Amino acid sequence: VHRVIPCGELDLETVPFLEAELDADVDPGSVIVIDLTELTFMDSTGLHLLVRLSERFPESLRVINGASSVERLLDLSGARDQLPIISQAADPLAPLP
Amino acid sequence: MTEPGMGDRVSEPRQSGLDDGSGHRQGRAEPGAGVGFSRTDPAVPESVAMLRATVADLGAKIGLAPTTVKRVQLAVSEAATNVVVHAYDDGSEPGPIHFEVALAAEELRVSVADTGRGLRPGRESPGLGLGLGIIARLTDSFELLQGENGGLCVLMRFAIPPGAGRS
Repeated sequence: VHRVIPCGELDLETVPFLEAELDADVDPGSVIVIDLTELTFMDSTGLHLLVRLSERFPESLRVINGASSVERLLDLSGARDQLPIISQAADPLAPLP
Repeated sequence: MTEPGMGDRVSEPRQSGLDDGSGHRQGRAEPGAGVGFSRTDPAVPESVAMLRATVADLGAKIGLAPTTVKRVQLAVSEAATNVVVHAYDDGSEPGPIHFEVALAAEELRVSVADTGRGLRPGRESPGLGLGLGIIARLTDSFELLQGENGGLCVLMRFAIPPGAGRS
């Protein structure tokens, strides 16, 4: 399991860093967990990255949310259903519900 | 990130377009129309976070509820991101983002404007639809206006309950 925990604000300026990190450092066979609980802000640029990643890793991506700013964005954008979201306590290797 | 004296500009009767020496032009948005503020930044990714921080500072200054501040921050982030990504995408130097706030009776008006190419058919816009949809849900109303030199101005209105938003 490859776990990434971005901190702070995920926006136009910082998305490229997270994307580069994932480009450089992901074993194609592993499950990728992006834990958003440490984010203080995310906008549609971050959401776009998550949607792109879910298309690129349709089987192996898991997203953990929980930060209030991220929750609000997921509701506003209607993108919640497009993303493989699991709870922090869930086993990332378990099949998606 | 430096934001020299920004809070000071909120309620002082200053002339528009004062140069504070930091490269940002700041001044009153609408003289006589209550609290106003404006600033101009280059359309680069770093400016988006700077504008969110400006919204937080202004919100604290005029006593906006934290939930309102977060709404305005996200809406401004979406509008400013659109400017950075789309307004000056013809390969030229990044132009300006004009940011303006006016607090009127029971309403906060926030505009994010550029002097770029405006909305046009075929505008390459993978994120634009989503960003505008988010703005539509965060604001009480918003308008897309033709700005200076054919650029785009996103004017967003946020209702402020009576008694709130005034310190």
